[in-house]
Amino acid sequence: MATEYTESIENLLKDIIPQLPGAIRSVVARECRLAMREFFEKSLAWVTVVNNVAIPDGDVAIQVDDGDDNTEVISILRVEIGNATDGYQLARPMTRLPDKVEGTNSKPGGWYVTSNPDEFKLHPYFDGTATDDLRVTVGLIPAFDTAITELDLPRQITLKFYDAILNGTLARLYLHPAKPYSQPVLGQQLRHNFLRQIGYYSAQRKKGFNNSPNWSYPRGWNK
Amino acid sequence: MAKTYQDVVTEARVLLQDTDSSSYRHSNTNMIAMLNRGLQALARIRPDACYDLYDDNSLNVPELVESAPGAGQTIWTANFGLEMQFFNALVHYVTGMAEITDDEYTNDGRAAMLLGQFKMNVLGI
Repeated sequence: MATEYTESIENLLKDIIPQLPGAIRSVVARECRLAMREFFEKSLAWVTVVNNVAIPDGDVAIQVDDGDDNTEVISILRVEIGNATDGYQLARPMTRLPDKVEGTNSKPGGWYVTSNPDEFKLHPYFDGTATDDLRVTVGLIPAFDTAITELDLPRQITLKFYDAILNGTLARLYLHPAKPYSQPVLGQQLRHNFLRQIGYYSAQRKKGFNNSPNWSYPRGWNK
Repeated sequence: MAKTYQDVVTEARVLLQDTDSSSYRHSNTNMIAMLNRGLQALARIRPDACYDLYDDNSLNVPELVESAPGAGQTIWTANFGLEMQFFNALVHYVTGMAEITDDEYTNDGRAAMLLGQFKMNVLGI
């Protein structure tokens, strides 16, 4: 789905800086970036589907890039194998590769192991030139070098997650030691609120933000 | 118009009643040295003050000189490179340190008050 980048860190600073006497603007912006990254990394509230990921030949890690300079892939949520004609089938996640790693030259096997936030391996791996491709659902976070004034942040930052990100940023700053704006008790309270909101939006994301049931037919049953 | 590091010394001279440029009681060299120590003290207790100057794994506290800056030095007529909230604090620091060095006309209580004011300005509200 398309992402509209209509927000900047500067928009958020306007609501944050008045609550921080003596704070350095660059430091506030940095903590805002870190709070956003923590929010999206823990809640996985920002997802996208990356289509046409090639299946490599051999036991090779597949690194997924959504092709957007404003984002980083932080999690592999779902891997499907197939093509536009025959459809896609869900691959199952595994914690680790089995003791014997095998290859196949027919339809690639239906398991995968995540080795990095944005990398995974198929099991069995494919031996040859694949005619299928992968459709991968990934979790995203904003890129770390997001400039303060650039409109590099998605609109859901202010549309949906505004209070959560404000709470997370303020909590981080209030917990700074020996600063004019240090407020450890208030920082703890806002941190608590921030973590609750992460859980709330994580639950919403698991239901697709539309209260849909979080299950699907087992493989082979929906044909 | 933007303030410069020299303006810190100029405003400190007003507090010291040492504004006669034909015969300064505290030389520019000494005042600049005090300002450099003030910048170091500021960076120690408020490392975020030099956040925008961070480069090469260092806070890069400005080292001011009166003329002919070398590598890593800044001429004191350059624009004040920190946030303006620290300008007043540095004026107090330079004034306080000048009071300490001036044993003929010094006021110890005033010197201690000014140095305390420096710390309170950067750490308190």
